[in-house]
Amino acid sequence: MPNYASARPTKRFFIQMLTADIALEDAILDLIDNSVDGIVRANNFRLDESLLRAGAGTRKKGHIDVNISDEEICITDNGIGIARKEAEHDVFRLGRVRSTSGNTLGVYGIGLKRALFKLGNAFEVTSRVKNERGFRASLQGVDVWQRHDPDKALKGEDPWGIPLEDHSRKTIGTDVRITEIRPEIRMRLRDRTTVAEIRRRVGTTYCLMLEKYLTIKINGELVPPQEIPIGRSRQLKAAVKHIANIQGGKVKATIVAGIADGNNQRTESAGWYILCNGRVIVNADRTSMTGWGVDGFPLYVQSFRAFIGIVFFFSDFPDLLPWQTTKRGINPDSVAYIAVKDSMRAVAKPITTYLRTLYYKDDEEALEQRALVEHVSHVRLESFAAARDAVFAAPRVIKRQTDKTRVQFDATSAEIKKAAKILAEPHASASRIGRASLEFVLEQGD
Amino acid sequence: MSAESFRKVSYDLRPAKQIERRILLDSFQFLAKIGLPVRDYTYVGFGSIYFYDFAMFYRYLGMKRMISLEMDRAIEKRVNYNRPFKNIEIRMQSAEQFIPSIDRDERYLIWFDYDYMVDRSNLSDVQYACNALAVGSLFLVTVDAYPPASLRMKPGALRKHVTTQLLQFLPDKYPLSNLSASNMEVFSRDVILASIDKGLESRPNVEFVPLWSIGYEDTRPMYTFGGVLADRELAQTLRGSCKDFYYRLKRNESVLKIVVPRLTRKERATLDHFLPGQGLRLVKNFGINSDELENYRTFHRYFPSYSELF
Repeated sequence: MPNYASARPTKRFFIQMLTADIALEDAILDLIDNSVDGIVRANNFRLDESLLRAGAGTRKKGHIDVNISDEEICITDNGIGIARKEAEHDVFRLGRVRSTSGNTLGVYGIGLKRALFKLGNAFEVTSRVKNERGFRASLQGVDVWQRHDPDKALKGEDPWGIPLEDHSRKTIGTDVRITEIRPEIRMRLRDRTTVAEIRRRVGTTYCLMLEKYLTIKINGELVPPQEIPIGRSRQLKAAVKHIANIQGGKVKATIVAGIADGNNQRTESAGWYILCNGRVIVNADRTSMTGWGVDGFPLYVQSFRAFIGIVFFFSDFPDLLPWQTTKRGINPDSVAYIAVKDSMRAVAKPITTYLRTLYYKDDEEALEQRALVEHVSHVRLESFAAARDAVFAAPRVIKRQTDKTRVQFDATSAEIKKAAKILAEPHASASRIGRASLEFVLEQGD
Repeated sequence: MSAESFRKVSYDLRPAKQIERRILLDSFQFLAKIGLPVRDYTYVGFGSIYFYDFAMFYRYLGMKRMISLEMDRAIEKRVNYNRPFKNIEIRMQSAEQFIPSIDRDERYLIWFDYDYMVDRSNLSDVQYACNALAVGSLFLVTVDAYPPASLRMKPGALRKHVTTQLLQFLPDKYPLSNLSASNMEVFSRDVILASIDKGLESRPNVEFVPLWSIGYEDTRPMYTFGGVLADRELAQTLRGSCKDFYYRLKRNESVLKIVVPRLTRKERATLDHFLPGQGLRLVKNFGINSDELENYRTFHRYFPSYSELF
């Protein structure tokens, strides 16, 4: 009798847990992440602050092709490819064997597998690196495979193994093809706006890479980069703060916060954007996740619709970055995030205070100020990387001193009518009558 | 910063506040002796149009870099006109606007002297400032220790206000039953400390060593809380040496109350003759009660003298 209780995971559990926590869109992004990493390695691109530098790397050498239908989901890239050895020992393992280093998007070693299991019941990955023959890994019938009990494995058989064979592939790069699309994914894809949504997400998520390093096509059409709509004008300048010493200098962050360009002052695009190694993980967040309504920071309200805040995290140690495994949202307990969150709010608070003052009243001055805000023009993110630390600059909102008090009281309509008659102004407004009443009292004093 | 309070009372005639400034000045000089060169720090305060703290810190400490924050645009001209020394930089900014420009490579002496009660906005100033300040910096905050009439008059209004507005600053199991208009000092201290803790969350090697917890009243009760951002070594040094001014003044209470006995020049001169030490009991009784004597003994070094000038 063994003197321990088995805590070994079942295959079924693993696959269910992995796929339950991720949405279709994020699974596609996971596949693209792998392709981006492959392209970055193949071309010695860097996913670091150079992404924010103007000029650097306008060679869009990487190409990623995504095809999505309810029959199959394919993604093809011209990245560095997967070496046969890596395929045997690393790439298909659930979870990393070693911790990751280098400024990559891959962190946990789970994205590719999760996407494969999430989207379909069969998949095929073919790849080839330079100076090697290609291979093909394929699994037909994930459902049968996951039911196969590791305890009943035959001698010499790896119950977690995925069949691998040589493949006469000519080009360097990787193809992933998922078929027997799962019924729930097919349901999502039946809604024809789903692919449009994926296209928008891809355009935002990889906006920095799409500007410089690579192109992505979805169903044959290029995805345009969706830039984060931060703006500036002569009077309104964004705040910038660089924080270099996180985790003993292993993680760097740059915070930029300001006013959205005049065409994008909408609630949908307002809020915080957080990027890890150039990839957007939080997109226009207006929830407590990024501090809205937490401690002294205000809750998001409509008058903050012109607010844009961006945090760029960069590290050669991706496991130190604040992303979650799904790369949608931040891990609030990550040291890197804890280290910047107060700075984020400190940098942003003068902006929310400014915007609130602006929409507080409707007087002439507030209107002038609003016009200034609405005339902010778009600026490229590159201009902030090299920028020195600066605080938000805005024209002062002057509270005009006034000695006026508003007088309000209730009167019956019969009284108003009677007063109008006395005044000999049958169509006098209620406020005219109020004014006349006050004047009458004042005359008594003269 | 004090947009309005300067209109209500001339700063010249606030003896308790002046005693507080002198106590602080005294302790800055003490801190200089144990290795915190306060005169080389950047002083940031709300100078209003009087600049008392600025003038004192410049005259007696020799502070070189000073920044006065002023939010009230209506008095901008007067602020500039009254600036007593050239090394005082006036910024038409709120504390909130100033904080993001705090430089971690510099040491500051910051005194946010608000003229209203603790609220979400000044507590987040406290949080963000302490998050940003370098080790060795001194941070002080003054708030009203008296709720506005709207919260005083209606029973339960103060507690309701606190639980709706300041919930996120209350430590777990905070005994709100003790909350009343008369113990706002302790409450202010607790929420200020909670905000400082929040600000230092990401800096495990930095702690805030409280040095000042002072209550005083000229026109209405005010409360000042302050201390030093310290690493382990500095914290030990401070704990070892600051008993001299902090714990003695605190006399087993968490708040040092400045109470100013009203004495004539002649009475003061007589009492001074027997000080320092316990000699006041030898003074021939000329009508000063023992509480007043004790208060005078505690604060006599810091007591301002006023006279009319022509």
